[in-house]
Amino acid sequence: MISSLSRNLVQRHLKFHQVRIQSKRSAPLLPTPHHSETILNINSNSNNVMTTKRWHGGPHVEKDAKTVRLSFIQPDETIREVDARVGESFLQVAHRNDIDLEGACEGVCACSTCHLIFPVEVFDQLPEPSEDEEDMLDMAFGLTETSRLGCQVIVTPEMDGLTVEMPKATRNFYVDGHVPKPH
Amino acid sequence: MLPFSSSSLLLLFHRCRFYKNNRCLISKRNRQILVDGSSLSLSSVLPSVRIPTTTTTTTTCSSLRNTMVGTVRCCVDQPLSHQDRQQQQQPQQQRRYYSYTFSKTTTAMMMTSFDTNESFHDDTSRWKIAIVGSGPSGCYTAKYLQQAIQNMETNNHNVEAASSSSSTTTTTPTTKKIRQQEESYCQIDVLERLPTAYGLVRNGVAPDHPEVKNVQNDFDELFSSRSDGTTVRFFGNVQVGRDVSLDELRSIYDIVVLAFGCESDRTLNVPGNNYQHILTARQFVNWYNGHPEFDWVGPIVQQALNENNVSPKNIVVIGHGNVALDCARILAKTRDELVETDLTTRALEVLHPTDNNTVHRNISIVGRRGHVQGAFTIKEVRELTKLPNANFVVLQDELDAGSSTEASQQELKTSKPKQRIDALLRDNATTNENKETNSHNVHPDMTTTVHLRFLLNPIRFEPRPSEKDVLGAVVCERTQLQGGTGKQSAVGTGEHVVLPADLCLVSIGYKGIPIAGTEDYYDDQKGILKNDHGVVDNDSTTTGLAPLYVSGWLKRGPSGIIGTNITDAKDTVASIMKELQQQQQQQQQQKNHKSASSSSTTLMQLLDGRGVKVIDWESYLRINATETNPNRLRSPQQPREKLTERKDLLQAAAKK
Ligand SMILES: Cc1cc2nc3c(=O)[nH]c(=O)nc-3n(C[C@H](O)[C@H](O)[C@H](O)COP(=O)(O)OP(=O)(O)OC[C@H]3O[C@@H](n4cnc5c(N)ncnc54)[C@H](O)[C@@H]3O)c2cc1C
Ligand SMILES: NC(=O)c1ccc[n+]([C@@H]2O[C@H](COP(=O)([O-])OP(=O)(O)OC[C@H]3O[C@@H](n4cnc5c(N)ncnc54)[C@H](OP(=O)(O)O)[C@@H]3O)[C@@H](O)[C@H]2O)c1
Ligand code: FES
Repeated sequence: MISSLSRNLVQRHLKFHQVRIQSKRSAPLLPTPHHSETILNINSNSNNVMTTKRWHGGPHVEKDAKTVRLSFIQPDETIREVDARVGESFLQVAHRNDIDLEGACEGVCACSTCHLIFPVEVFDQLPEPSEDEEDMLDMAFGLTETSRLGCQVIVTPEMDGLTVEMPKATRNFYVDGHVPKPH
Repeated sequence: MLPFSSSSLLLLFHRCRFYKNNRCLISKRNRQILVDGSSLSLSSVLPSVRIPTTTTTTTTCSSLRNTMVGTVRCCVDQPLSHQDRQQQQQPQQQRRYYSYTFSKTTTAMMMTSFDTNESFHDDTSRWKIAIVGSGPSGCYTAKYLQQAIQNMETNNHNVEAASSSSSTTTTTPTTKKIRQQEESYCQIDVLERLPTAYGLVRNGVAPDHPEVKNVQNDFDELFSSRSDGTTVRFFGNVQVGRDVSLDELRSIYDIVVLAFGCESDRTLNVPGNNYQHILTARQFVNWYNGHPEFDWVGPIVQQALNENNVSPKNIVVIGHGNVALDCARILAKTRDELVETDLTTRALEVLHPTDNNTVHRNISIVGRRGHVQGAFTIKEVRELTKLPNANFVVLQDELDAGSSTEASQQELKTSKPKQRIDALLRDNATTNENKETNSHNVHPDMTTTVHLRFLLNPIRFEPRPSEKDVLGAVVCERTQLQGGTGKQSAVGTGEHVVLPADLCLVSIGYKGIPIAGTEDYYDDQKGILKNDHGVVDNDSTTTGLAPLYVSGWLKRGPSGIIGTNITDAKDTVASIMKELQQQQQQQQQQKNHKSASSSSTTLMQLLDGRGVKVIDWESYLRINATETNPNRLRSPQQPREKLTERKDLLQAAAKK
């Protein structure tokens, strides 16, 4: 028999840790068997968590769309080369490939965290940014002359072999006392 | 002090009959068991990992009455039964996780057990980290810490795997996976004083900017999913400094990160600033966004805006940051324009009580310097110029005066964003204050006008002629700019401009204030905690307390957008990882577990004991569900109708 006190304790515990009580009466001291499938399930769930990303705003592009090779220079200077589907936004490409490009507003041009730096010759060829994008870019951290928002630039077949750069935050950012004003 | 003596622990194991003859793999390194958050080295408690199979008697059990209270969680690798083994044709082990709760009743010691189903949730984590504050900086810090610790553990694991590759132990892919997961276990607890998460994303960001709040989805993922080896938990309704002291946190956790933002205001030290109908922007914003502690603001706004039915009402907003522009826009928009936002109904009824759009308001946003020095950004200014139901007025003379200095010219030349703001404002400028109709933005049939005014420094407030303690006007002094490029300041010219005011919102910045226990680190001038790359205090040699870090507005001051907290959090995380790596090396040298978890209490127990009603993630989701329930909404497009009282929030959080 389990007293109400201890049941409370257990229930609190259960609620908190989201675990299941399996045997209350019969053999409180004996843990009930765990099926191995459960263990497997736990595992595959947690793996899903690692790889499943939220859908980000941007055009819907079929899986079998034509792809081009794109490279991202990451903030730590390492380069990631990935397959990008023609028609996707750069933010979508990054997220599909687990590249650590934020997209706080989920690709609707309201946060500037998807900021990317393009080579000048490519930048000049890109369709003009909208007024909204330009306004948002003005808030971007580490803005350059050839900056664009990753959620607003769409991959085209001509981009094959293109390398874009993610802005770097150096540790000196704070040492210099450079607090971006107003951002 | 350990709650279990070695002999009682042995008895405990005897009681756990499932355990007999099986190799015990309690906790990560096969050496440890965690009792109520404290670790015991198994090798010291139990000389051999093989446990004798005696059964305990009731008498020995009752003799434990005084010591055995708490929870034991363990994980056991059990060999599969003979039959199973034959089926699988190879020796295999199966890992199980168990949790034992011991409690005392007056008559007997009770012990209950259950499959935990999931592996160690908190107590056995290698790292226990507390983050105070669930705003963007707290959440981003949790996010990057999680990533960084996973990377660190994966690297460690790879190193270990490489060095032990010659060993003969057989592990199946499944057990290997589980082990990996368990090995890297890290628990991050985010403590928030409100029942709701996300700080200024909920209580700051303007209701008519729903896109900005999409970031909540990213943060939701932190709390609702378990990724390899780490969990992030939400502890809402827990105020650090009141419900739990900072020192307590520092003895329960290995690392404590402070991200509690800026909960006060910069003060405008001018005569009359205590008159009624003067609010700070923070108070006003918290109120319209439904912060449960700012209910009292409503009646003040109500009185200032709707009293006597006299039109027009004059509102002065002091400051040229985006917060000032947010406030002005919310006052200038019509009911129709706001009805589909998450602006609380309690605020909507005060701000825009009527359906007809004939509210007549003069809203002046005044700044002491010029437009080139404005702290606002172009997106927010453009929104004001495009309001469909309000005029926008900016004076050509003020623009010219502001950009006439050489320093301003230089500032313009070197900043494309400033050039764009300059162009936008000039495009909308009026040549003469009294001939507002000069501007193509001014339509006589619109009854609300937003004036963006420059080079006006508020020097005092004046009362109404009839009521001596109620605001009547804001008196400003015309200024001119002096000083070098990027450092120009506003210097008074002696000319005074009187702006009549029924309501004044002082929007000159939020300010950080210390919570109990952080006073020694506080920099009153800047309103932040003194830190070096987020390190506030990592000298635990004298105190024995966990190192202290800071992130977000509390670290760098009240400026920057949500995205700015990303770089900021990464900087703090880099500092924390240095510390963790050091701690890890020390542990490996001393072959013992980390210091913090030798504490025998968990945060949950402590709060439980104090009667604090913790809002965990599930409870928060219930609040969320209530707020988004279609029955509560004004229109199907309204994203949510926030609960604005603490008791309602707590009630919604409670299980039905
Ligand atoms: C009015 C306003 C509008 C804004 N609009 C935008 C916008 O549109 N776009 C944009 O990008 N940025 C915007 N920002 C900026 C953005 O909100 C900030 O950069 C960001 O919120 C700062 O994050 P933080 O975590 O440091 O602080 P906060 O968001 O303030 O979070 C601090 C948290 O700590 C909690 N807390 C405080 N004390 C305790 C305690 N003792 N114990 C436990 N918890 C505690 C608080 O309740 C709060 O949840 C806006 C800011 C304001 C003020
Ligand atoms: N949509 C958005 O992206 C958004 C919306 C809201 C807020 N935010 C961000 O949140 C942060 C905080 O915004 P904020 O508006 O509170 O602060 P802010 O941007 O720092 O602006 C403060 C304003 O107050 C003025 N001021 C300060 N002290 C004063 C004094 N004693 N007398 C007169 N004026 C004074 C400043 O003028 P001086 O320059 O002359 O000192 C400045 O114009 C900002 O980084 C902002 O960008 C972003
Ligand atoms: S994702 Fe927010 S602006 Fe691109």
